[in-house]
Amino acid sequence: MKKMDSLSLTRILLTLSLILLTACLTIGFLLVQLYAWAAVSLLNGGIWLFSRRHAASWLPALCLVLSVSLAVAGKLMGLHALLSIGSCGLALVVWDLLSLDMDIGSNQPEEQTRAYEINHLQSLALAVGGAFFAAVIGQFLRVKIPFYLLAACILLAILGLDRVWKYLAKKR
Amino acid sequence: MNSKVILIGTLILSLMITALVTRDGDLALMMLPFLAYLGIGIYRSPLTDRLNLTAERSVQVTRSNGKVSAAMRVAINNETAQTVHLTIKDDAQPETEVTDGSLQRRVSVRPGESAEIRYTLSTTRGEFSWKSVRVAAGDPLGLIQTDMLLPAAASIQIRPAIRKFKAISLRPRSTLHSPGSIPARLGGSGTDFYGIREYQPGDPLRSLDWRLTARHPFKFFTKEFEQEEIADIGLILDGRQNMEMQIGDESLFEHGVSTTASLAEMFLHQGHRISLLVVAKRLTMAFPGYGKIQLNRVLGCLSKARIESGERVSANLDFLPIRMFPSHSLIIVISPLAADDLSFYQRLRAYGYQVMLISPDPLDFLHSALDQDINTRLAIRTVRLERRLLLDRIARLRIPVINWPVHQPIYPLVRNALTRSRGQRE
Repeated sequence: MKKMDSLSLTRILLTLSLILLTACLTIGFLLVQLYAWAAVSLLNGGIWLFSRRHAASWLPALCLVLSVSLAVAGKLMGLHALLSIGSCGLALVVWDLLSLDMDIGSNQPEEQTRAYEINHLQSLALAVGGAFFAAVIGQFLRVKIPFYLLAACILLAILGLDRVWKYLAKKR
Repeated sequence: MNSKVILIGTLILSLMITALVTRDGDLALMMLPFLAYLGIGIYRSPLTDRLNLTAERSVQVTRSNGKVSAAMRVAINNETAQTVHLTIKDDAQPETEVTDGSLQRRVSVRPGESAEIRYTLSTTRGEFSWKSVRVAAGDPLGLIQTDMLLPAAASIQIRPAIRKFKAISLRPRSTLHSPGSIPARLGGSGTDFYGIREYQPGDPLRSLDWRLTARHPFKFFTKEFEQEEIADIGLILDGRQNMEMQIGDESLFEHGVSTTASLAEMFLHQGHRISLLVVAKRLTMAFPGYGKIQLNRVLGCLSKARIESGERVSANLDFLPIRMFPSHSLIIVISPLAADDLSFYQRLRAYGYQVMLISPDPLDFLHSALDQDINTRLAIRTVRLERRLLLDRIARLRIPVINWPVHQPIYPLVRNALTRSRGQRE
């Protein structure tokens, strides 16, 4: 019974994240009185629900792109920054948990599968929690960086991608 | 790089470009969850050179009610010093069905522990082999994965079901000069009295007919007994594409395979020499042989027999290498018959073989699946007449023909046909 509860943890978290994501976007749009966009956010939640049945298809990826696009559009139209960042994080969580549910859903609820699930959820929580924490700090610590310096940093990061790639290749 | 990484990378790049174009720092902050997600995936992926995984596979075959199931167990042992996150995936075999368990599993395995996948395959017949198992080791988020093929070999041969037939006393036209069970119409060392002849030097004294010798002074007579020898039997199984019919799980070809296996087992059990030619996807042969080893060979050939796909030269039986069968042997052909097969039987008879045809009746087999309207009934009647004519023409070649409705037991039909053809001579 305990194993069964643990396996359904993914589904519980998935449902909670989906509700939170839809609520974040809808409430955010309602607060800035963009009712049509709020309706689109609700529709987005509906599409996410539908994609649970087609987790192996491209539909969850499309929903992720749609949710991030809504968050970006909302931010550009005056949505609160933390709501937008939170929506992005939650969209990532929903997309990832859908994939996890599909992968381990057919497995027998055994200890090693449970360990995999727990490891996965810990990593996801660390990534999204850490990112949200950093974003909150970023909201309070406003550092003015000149545009050319920012562009140079980004260029450097892009040029450094080949180093990351080589590191990954070495790891594999 | 898998599709997850591509999607996350594309989103990060799109958000970065949007942030640069709109000069909005908050949009740049929206990249953070994705960057952290990717970063943790990269950080937690294992180093390939430290991975030390081994695999073992075991398979157990059970047969019940004609269905064969194979219980497969694949174990992956983690001999690495750290916990690894694995996706274990085994390859599905063609013409098998997974009835229990799953071919894929995601697990986290601690050092020194092993993870297993267990599943049950269901099939009717065939030869299956596995060489390796696919394992992907990566981070718990499934972003950066290293694919590996771990050697884990196993093979199984699922043979056709055999129905045990009682021995049928054959009377072939010629026999092989090895001790067996068939009266050979030759005097020699047997058990049944065959005749009397004048004594020849070298004849054993115990075979002298003392009563006759007493009546003829100065002459000796010897009793002769009928030699008992074995027969040379060839089996030809027809598995051409246009001969195959299937209703649900039931196949006409499978009836032929099962009958061939049962006949081979019966004849080999009687001590006869058997050879086999399967005209199917591949032309498979078992050259003449005796005993259990030959039975293994025959069943091995039959387990691999698959219906031929596509048009090939062997679609015409005229090109079969029938000279692989020893001369004057009894050849039993198991074939539903095609319209142009008559010449093949003429050729067999011309070569001097004694032939018997077991023809699984395709019309009877398809009867339940066909419509019962007047046109279909007329068509069935026409085809039945054509088939009857062909069977009669083959029977006129002094070939015993069994028109076998496959839902009837084959044994009485074979027994009657072989008994009727006893002593058949030209």
